[in-house]
Amino acid sequence: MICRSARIQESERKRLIKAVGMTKWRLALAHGVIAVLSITSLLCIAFDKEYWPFSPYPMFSSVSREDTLSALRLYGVSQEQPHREIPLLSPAYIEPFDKSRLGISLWRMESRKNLENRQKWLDKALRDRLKGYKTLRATGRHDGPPLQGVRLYEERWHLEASAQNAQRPDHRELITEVEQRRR
Amino acid sequence: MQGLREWWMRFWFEPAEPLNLGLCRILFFGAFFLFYLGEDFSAWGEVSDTFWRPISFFQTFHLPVLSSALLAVVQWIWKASLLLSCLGLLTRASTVSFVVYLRCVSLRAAAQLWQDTSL
Repeated sequence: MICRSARIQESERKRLIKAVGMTKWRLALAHGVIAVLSITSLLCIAFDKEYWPFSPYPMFSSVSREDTLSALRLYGVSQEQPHREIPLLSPAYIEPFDKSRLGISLWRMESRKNLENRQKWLDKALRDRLKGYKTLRATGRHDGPPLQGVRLYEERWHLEASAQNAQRPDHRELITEVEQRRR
Repeated sequence: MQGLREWWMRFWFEPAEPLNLGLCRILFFGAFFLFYLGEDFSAWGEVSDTFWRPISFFQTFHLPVLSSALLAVVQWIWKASLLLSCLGLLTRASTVSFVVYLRCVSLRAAAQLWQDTSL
């Protein structure tokens, strides 16, 4: 009886394999791929960990209850007198970054606990962006004014429903600045 | 159990007309191609390593950041493979470029990890 049941199961398995028109090994490989993709995705979600290219997709999964917003913003200091501060927000000024990702990246450096390292990293990053601005300007990617340096500010806004204060932060604090090295 | 197995096989492997697959391929690869056509990844080769925060994939395989010139070559191979896959030309060869695709997406991810997010 058991033997007959096993024979039926085996013939059923063969029938299914035949029905999909794939060899046994190919079918096993397809199942392996499905298993790896599904299990790894589920594990990433369960443990809230990111192992590229798998992710728990945390974006927009938290709610901010505060009515203030803080951001780090980079400003260029023009060479011409009187010196003007130009917000480096346009992608043309900061390519290949964009404003939000550059801000996040700088924020991460600014949050480092080791103050000495933090200053070193921020200075290096700001010099890199100053150099990038100049290169983009020299290659005609933008027509911004020549800069003598860049400044990094932390800016804070009280959130308004109309966002009319978007260009007027309530609080502004200079974090660091670098100037073009003289030759 | 047998019902579950049949459902599983039907869900994943039921023979079907190739039209849906072809349309999906055109839409997927075509959208990717158009989206990334104007994007220049080679600029990442010039960015300071201060911004470099490798994702686990890069850390595990010790993948370096390529130079701008190499990034430019890789990105054009990748874009060409996306177009070929969209058109259904040299599909298998384009599939081989999945490795390049992976590499380039990694670069994309790396680029974003430079910026500290991921694809």
